[in-house]
Amino acid sequence: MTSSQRIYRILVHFYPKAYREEYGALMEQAFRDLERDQQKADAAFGWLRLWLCVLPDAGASIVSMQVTHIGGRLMFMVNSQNLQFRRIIWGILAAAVILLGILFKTLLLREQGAVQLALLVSVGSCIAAVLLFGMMGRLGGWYIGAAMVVVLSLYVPLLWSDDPYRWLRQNPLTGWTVILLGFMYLTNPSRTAVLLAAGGLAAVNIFTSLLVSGL
Amino acid sequence: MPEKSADPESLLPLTPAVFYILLALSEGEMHGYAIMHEVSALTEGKLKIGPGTLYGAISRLVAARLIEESDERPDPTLDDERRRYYRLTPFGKSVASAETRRLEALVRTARAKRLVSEFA
Repeated sequence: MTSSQRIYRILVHFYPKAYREEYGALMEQAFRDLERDQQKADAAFGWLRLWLCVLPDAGASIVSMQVTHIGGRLMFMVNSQNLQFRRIIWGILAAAVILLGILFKTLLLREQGAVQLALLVSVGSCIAAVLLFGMMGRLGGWYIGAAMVVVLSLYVPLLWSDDPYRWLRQNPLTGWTVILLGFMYLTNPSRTAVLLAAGGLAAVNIFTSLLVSGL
Repeated sequence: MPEKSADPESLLPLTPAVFYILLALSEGEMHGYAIMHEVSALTEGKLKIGPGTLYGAISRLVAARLIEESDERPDPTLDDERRRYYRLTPFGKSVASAETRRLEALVRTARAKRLVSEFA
């Protein structure tokens, strides 16, 4: 086996398992044929022409196959009749949105001190998370409206604070975990989802706040 | 791509790679690398598809029943028996025909708008 074939075999491992089992060997076969023909056509730079053709093709198709695969699995889980499982999935998605909000907010504060923008990110991700929580099943418009009031009541006062940056530093949880737990309580998801999301968020929020504080 | 559909039009428009794969298989059954070669030849080297794109398209075309794996094997002494051969299904032929008609209509419209000359 040539070095190129070894590298291509590693690349094939990045395709989804089911697809790899069905087509992996055939792709490697096609790669070997392609390599042989490129070497025949150009002994000196055949390998370069081969990889210029194969690398973008592999990169694009790996991303495409993974997106299709993950999307398919996620939709299957979301459409599953198992309500508990569906709630866990939407809970995890909502938690992921909040998590991204926390990280982005932290970066904005730490690197640029952009308090207003950080606030916007916080509120935006919170609202997005609330909408995702709404997909968990029992959350109606009334709950979403109530959630927005809670979110705004937690963050709008920052606009008038003398030193909101300090306020954020000294309040590591900054309401995120409270909001999360509150809505998980209202929407009644599985205990596992609550523990996973709340525990993970609390840990990350404390950690990022410590980073902001420079400790 | 959806499962087998009664209406070929519902799968249009096809991507260039998919259309050329169907065109390549209209000549007869082929294995993956032969399809890659044929697509390159049909497009005079303008469209080169790699193994990733090829088998991604093949998996979707098989799922949509536009092509199928062929049971017939060539003489093993002439070919690697691990290769898989694919052929167009009747539904695949009708989808390729529908795409050809769609492209013809497109070209007619472009000519009517004088974007290209009649003999170009």
